[in-house]
Amino acid sequence: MKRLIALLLLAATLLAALPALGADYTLDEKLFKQVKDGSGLRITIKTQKSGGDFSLLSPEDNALLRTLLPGAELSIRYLRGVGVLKGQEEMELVLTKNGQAIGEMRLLKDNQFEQLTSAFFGAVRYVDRRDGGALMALLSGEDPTWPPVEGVLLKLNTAESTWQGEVARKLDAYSLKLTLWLQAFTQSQNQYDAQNNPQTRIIIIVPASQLKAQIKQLLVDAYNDTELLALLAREMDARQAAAYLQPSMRDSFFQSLDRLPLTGDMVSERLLNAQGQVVENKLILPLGGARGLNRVLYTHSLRPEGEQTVITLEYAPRNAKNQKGAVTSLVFSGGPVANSHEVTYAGTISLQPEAGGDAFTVDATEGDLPARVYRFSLRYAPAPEAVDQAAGSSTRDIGFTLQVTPQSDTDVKAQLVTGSVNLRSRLNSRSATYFTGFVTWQDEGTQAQVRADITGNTAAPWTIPAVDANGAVRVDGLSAQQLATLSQQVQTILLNALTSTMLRQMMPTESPAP
Amino acid sequence: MRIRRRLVLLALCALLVFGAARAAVFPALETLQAGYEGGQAYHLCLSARVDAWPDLAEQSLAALQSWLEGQRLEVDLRRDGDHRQAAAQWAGDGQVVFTLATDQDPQEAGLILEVPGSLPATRYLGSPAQPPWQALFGSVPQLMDPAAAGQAFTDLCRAALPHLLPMEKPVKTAISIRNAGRGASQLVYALNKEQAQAFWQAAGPDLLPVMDRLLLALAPSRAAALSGSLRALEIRGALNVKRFLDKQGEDLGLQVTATLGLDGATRKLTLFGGRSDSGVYLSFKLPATRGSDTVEAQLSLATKPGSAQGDWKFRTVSGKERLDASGKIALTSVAQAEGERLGGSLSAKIRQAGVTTDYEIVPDLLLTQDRLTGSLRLKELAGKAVRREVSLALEMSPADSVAMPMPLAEVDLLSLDDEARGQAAGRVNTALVPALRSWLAALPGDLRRLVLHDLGRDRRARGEGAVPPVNTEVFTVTEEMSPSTSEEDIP
Repeated sequence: MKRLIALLLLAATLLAALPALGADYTLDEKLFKQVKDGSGLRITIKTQKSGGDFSLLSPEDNALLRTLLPGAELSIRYLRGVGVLKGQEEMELVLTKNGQAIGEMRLLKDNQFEQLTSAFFGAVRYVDRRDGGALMALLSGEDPTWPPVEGVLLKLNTAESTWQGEVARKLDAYSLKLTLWLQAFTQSQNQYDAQNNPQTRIIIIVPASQLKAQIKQLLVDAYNDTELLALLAREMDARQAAAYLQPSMRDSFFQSLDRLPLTGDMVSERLLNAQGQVVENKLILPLGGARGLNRVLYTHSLRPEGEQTVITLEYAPRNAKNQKGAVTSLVFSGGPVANSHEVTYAGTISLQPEAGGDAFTVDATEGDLPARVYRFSLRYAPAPEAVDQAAGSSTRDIGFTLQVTPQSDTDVKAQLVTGSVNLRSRLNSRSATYFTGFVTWQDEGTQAQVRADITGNTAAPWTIPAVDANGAVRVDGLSAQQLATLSQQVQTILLNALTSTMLRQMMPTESPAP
Repeated sequence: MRIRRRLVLLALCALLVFGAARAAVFPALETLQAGYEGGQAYHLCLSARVDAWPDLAEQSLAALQSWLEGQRLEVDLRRDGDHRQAAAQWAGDGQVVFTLATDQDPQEAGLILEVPGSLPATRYLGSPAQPPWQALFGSVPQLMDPAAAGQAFTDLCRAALPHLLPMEKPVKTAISIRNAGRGASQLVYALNKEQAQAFWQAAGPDLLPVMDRLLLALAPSRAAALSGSLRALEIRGALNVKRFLDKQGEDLGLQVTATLGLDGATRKLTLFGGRSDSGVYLSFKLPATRGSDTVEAQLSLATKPGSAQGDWKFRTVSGKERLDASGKIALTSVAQAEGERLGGSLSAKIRQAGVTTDYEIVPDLLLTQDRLTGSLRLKELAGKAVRREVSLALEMSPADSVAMPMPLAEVDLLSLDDEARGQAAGRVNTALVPALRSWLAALPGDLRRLVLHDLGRDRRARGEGAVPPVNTEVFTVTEEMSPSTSEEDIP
């Protein structure tokens, strides 16, 4: 867990890039901001299944889809309070099929407790102290001790707008410090392209030791910045704040950073043309094994035929005898389509496993395993927003298409995902945003298709009842062993419930004629 | 606000009693006080019951009483010389509503507040002159400190005496001081106007800081303004000081008369009083020589072991504004097998702007060597009608220490500008609203509406909503009307 220093640095960079609250926004941005700023969200998803089986899925998974999807309806209600309702949260999922209740699950949070209930659990209520992490551990089986930094990033990036504005202003100083620090490692070179046009190459090379030193300095500055800590504490939950905001944790992070086996330098190369355009942008970021990654490489280049981006994730080898681990590579090019509002990308994603897999001994003659390659094309078509001043409303249609074609697996056919959504709302920023749309997933080989019709809207915040801990199963009082046992039981209950639901759906509704 | 100031007035009567008595009038209480002054920490548990409150419907009062039944306030207190610590935790139905801790020494004042789920434990830093509770909550009623006032007065006399000694003249005149006893002789210091002005010029720089301490102990909320007035004090007439000595030649009482210029007006000062093991008498008058403006106070308290009986008066006239207050003190303690039982009553009658209100505090406390249990009943009456009646149940016992909460963040209020300080205060003041809303949400619908109506009376008068709004975020949905659509628009 403590190897996440690199992600913390990334978190700081992400936070510094938070946009200030602007006056203009699109309807999809309005929808996101409304949910972020404490509005409720109601969604209904109705599914249908047609055609054969998906070549991508196993027979069991196909049977699940065939049984569950036709006539199924999932209703979602979500609210995360802000301002004076801060600390209250509700998420409710209700699943029906052909009008009959299949199951429901509800997660409730107030200032003191969180509660998980479900029709599958009967009358049993599972209650944990607020932000204890035990409920999620119950469902996922993960260790609740240390809150993952991804949760922190998600929480901060979806925080209410005014807070993000305050933090963005606060982080300006850190951004400036980073810029000044990078200047010491920056070189500039002048060169010419094939047409003899002048170009400037800016190279930044930061040795791993310097990178660690700067991360430490950032941590020192952050932990001494009481105003920043107070700002972050407002949005982080109690567990996250206790894990990441305690100044006493600084030395532990330093030790973890010292132990991080960062090899190689952080390298940034940008090539600018005479007009100041970035013709080429490269970044090599050593991660020393954080989240299983050795290095991340990023290259973006501007070519006459279009822009191309390559992102490569080099994983640390799991087998100690291997020099090289798995590699994932994403290559795509494209961009906005001329004279249109569409954006298209096409490329490949390549998944190369580690040689020898997880076996302890490795056959030296095996070499690299062949990668599984998928070609994809993506089209994103957000239409301009249509404003009707007379009616005081606006609408926007957004469509997308994603086609993924396996290159190396002949059994799996091309998959096509298509979606379209219509957003509409009155012009006031506090007017609810309504959306209607669909998403289809089609197997182009077998013509199997799943369709989900989606409707929903943002809503005014409603009253969330307090959690009554009396009579509930208090998971915060369980030992680690007890929690692990209960987690297995809960997952078994859910699996059994799903299985029995499937069986009920598969059984004929009428008795055969005598 | 007015009710708080009046309760403070009543509370100071109690403090005067316990601070003014010299002999062991209430030995067990004085042992507790000595323990606190000596650095012993104490734990106090309080619960409350409201039997009457104005402008609340019967159902609202019943809802409030039902809610209060499950509420407890636990407080830890400790004083170590100039360093004072207090930590309070309010819990209801097994849940902590908030934790508030204060920490003060001559250099620094701090406040830690935690509201679970709403405000993480945050420490707000200030100074004794600008305490964080003032910046965050506005002016807070401050109780006088009789012990500090007594010490400051003694220090004032000690500081003034060297400058008066050349004028000292012994006089063998006896005088009787109510409650205090009989003075066998006097030491008189008579200064004419010029001599008094020279005395003030020489002694003023030494006396003013001590007088500031005395004002801070007697009238904390007005000390700064009064200190400013003292710096412009003028001597406009003779100054006469008399020390009354008992048969053993020890100080029994004092009389001071002078003509002063304060805030541009000439006033006659008359201070007379005395103190002994049998009681205290104090009379203070400061009328203007022209007009009817005046400030007058009188305290008469007879004490003996197990009894404190007396009365007090306070009067101010400033232009057309007039305040008249008076009260009685009747406290007794009886030794019982379990300890010492303190009972009796403190009462006050306050007349201001043509309205007379009576207040009463009735203690019923059992004190042992280091513990206290019992109740305090507080009543406010308008004529014969009871406007407010609150009963507090108390339990106090020694504690090992004061458990200060660990802050997750710190805000230095002194380094913030006004806008940032206002934002910090705003966050603190709305931190408890989620808890209020949770309580309201738990009430049945009709009752909730009635309680909101009653609670929101003052806010409505100010043009605000009954409860602070949910939030002021720009994108929080308040209107759910769907814009019209046609079927062609739906894909």
